[in-house]
Amino acid sequence: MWDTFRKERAWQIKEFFFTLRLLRQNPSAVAGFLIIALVTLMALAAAFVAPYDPIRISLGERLRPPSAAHLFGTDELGRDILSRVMYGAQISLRIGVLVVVIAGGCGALLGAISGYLGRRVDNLIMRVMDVILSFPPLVLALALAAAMGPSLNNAILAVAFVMIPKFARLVRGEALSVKEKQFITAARASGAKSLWIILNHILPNCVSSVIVLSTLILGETILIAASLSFIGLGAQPPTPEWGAMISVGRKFLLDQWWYATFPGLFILVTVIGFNIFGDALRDILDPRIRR
Amino acid sequence: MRLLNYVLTRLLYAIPVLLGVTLLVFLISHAIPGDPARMMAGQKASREAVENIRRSLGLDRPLPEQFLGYLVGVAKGDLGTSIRNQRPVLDDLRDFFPATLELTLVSMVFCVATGLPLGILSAIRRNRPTDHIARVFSVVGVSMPVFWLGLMLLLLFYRTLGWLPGSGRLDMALNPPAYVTGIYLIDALVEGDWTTFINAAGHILLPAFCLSYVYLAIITRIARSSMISALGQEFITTARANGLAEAAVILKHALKNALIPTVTITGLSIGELLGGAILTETIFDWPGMGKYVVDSVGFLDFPAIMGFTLVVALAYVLVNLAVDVLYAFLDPQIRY
Amino acid sequence: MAEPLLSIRNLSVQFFTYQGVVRALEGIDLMIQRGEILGLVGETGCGKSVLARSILRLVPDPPGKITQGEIRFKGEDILRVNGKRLREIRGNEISMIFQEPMSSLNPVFTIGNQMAEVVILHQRVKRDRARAICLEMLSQVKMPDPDRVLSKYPHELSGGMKQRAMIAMELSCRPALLIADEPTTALDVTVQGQVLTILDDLVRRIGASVLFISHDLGVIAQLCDRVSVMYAGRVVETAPVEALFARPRHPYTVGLLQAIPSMHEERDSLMTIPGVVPRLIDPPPGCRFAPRCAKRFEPCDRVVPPLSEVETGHAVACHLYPGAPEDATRKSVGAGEDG
Repeated sequence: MWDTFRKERAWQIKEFFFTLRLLRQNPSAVAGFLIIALVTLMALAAAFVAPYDPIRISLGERLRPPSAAHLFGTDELGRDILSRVMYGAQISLRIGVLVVVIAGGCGALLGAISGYLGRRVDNLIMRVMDVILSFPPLVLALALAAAMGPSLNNAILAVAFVMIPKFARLVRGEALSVKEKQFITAARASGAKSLWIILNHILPNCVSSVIVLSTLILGETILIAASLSFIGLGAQPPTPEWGAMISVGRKFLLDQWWYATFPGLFILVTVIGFNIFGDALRDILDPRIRR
Repeated sequence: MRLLNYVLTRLLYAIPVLLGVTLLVFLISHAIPGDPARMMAGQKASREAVENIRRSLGLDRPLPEQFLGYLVGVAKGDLGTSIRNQRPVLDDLRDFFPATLELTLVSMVFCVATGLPLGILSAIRRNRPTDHIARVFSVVGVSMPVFWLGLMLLLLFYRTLGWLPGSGRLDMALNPPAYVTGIYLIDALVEGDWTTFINAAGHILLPAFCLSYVYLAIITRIARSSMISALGQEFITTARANGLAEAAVILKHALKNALIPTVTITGLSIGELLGGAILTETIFDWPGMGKYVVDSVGFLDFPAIMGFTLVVALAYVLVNLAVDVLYAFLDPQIRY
Repeated sequence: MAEPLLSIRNLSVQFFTYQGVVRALEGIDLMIQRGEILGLVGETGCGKSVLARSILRLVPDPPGKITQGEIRFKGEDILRVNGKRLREIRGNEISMIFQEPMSSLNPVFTIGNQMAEVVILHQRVKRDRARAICLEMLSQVKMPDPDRVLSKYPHELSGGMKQRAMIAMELSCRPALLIADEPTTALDVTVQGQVLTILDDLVRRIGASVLFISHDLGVIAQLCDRVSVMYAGRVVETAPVEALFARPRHPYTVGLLQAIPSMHEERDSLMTIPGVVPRLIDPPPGCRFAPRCAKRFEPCDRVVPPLSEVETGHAVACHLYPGAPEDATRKSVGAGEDG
């Protein structure tokens, strides 16, 4: 049994490098990755690269159009929009990663348990997932965030809740197909407990599809979180979250076009990056296309 | 007969889901907040008012009992009272419903009428320029922040070009047509009132396009991929080998197969439409349910928010049920 | 000698892929007379299916292309007719049945709908008349309860019944030629025999010719009048069925026949042909079987052996049997009448 285990791992490592090579050759994967990398860099380096302090108020320079001094212009408190957008990347990425980790962790566990244990447990868990999926995502996130109180952390939890069923369904599917394979029967025959099997055999097999789903969900999360902030339920002022900036920028739209335009542009490009990369990754990992 | 069985089974299955949805909304509104009574009464209400609400809504009872009461209330149409204007939430929603219905219907029609042919064309001309353009459009579509798109559209068509109006369903000067359905486009036609019709059409153009954008991308994408998948099947070769003209092969044999996943995903994506309506109506000052709930958020009008959530979720479940039934019409294999 | 119903000359088909040009068929010569059943045998990947599809121009382009050759059907070169004529021929004068009945029928339409579609298209009759014709054909293939079958969907029928429905559909317009691409390979052995008998019966009654493709020599022996053996995109031997089994000439054919285990012999292991089928992207320059051939000698690696006649009606593509010169093969690969 340990032999099969070791062979599985070695094969997985080989597959991983093969995947990397395919990714390098795929133009959309490269494009998506570049976008993601740039945004991440911007987020990580914001403190060093941003030209101004994002919360520094300068009433003398209110609502200035884009210029050499302020590439994206200034807002109604004289703050530099470019710097705020850069810090906004930090916030959006943080939201995305947190949601994926929380939803992915809970969802994967639920899905694995559901798929592996089957019957009653499976039925119950999946029915609950169905109920959650019966809500339009933004509507449910809105209701949760409203009930928990408007704050960025609550918004993160709300969105994570909405995303759990997607992970659960995916992992359940994988668990169902892996369940029947021989090495599981072998493991059970040698007395391994269910939890150990789930953690060590079932979950590792789901890694690639979970990664693809995570990438796509990251994009969707950034959109929903920005929408929540736009409505007033997520990030609160003065946090430079992209959606929140657009919400204020809306008031100045007609005469100060730059305020709402740039943050939104960044949302669009970032989500495009994640979507393109996720799609390319999904295609590459598809076993029919791989050979 | 099998079809009828299938429909009945789906209906039966929908009931626990509807119950589950109601339960979840109940839990969100009654179990999550620190003090549900205060949420229902409003942040500005006096201590006394809050205690009154607590007693009258039975918020001091054990949860299961509360849920039963809630369920009975919902069945009777009682969705709580709006803090803002002290009206029953159901009445508020009923007032704002036609505007949302009009916007959603126009968007859906536009999306299906455009997305389906675009997807099919894209599949037939696979990997040629049309396909590439369609695929780029698709990715941009699903990545688009709806509220930002609306603002950009306003900037372009309203502020810069001045071609289209920026808010509302009609010019201030005009009166809405006599109420038949609440849908201005239909009502104006029924009255034969051309001016109003054209004006309403002009007002709905931008919001409908904005709302449709994401949805259109989704439909085009799924239409394309299911068409490609259908065209790769063996029975397509059989049809060609039997001498059928290419148009018949595509439009009869491939299309019906491609419609199955397309209809499913389209139905599921109505959720995106409903979510997007919230944002679109806000941007364009469209007096529908979406704007109502966003305004409610601004006032922290909790009962209104919860009432909206419940109604939308229940409607979504029923729409998906309808899609399931439609699916059975198209695919004979699942009627068991 | 009578003009053959179908005459394929020097047909070459290539597939243009990322890895290179796949030379799937090279210089194929084949002939089918009226009323005869020609078997086409060879292992997976030898090009039998490509050949079958090329006849009706069903090879997807891209990536495939018919690069040279002509296919004469009733005197017409059907590789060069226009779309309209091609559609007249398909399903009507030349019909085709495929290997997987599960996937060859459209799952969302009833059997009756799909059968009637073909009848109405080619015979220009009304719905009722078409339905009657379909019913008639279904009883010809001994389909139980034909009336109910017409309103059933493909997934409601068993594999054998689906294939019988396909046969009924493809023969409903009384084609002169039926191409059968491994029609029984995907069926249970017990059902195979039934379907083959029905097929044999029906085509003889209609007087249709058949190009019967299979990798199963036993079935070929049962059903066919003549056989062509293919290897790696080329025809290597053509002969009347008894002659092929009694006196196989080409080393590949010999190997094939030897590989069939016999109940009467006692052996320790099965006989195989050593080596593997060549990649068709860069096939060997001379005879494609040479690398595996025990009898290979000097010209085999350099020169492609032409298909030449060794006895009446029996032709081989092998340097061991130089036989008659090039143009004689044109006439003599027929059904044994004087050349």
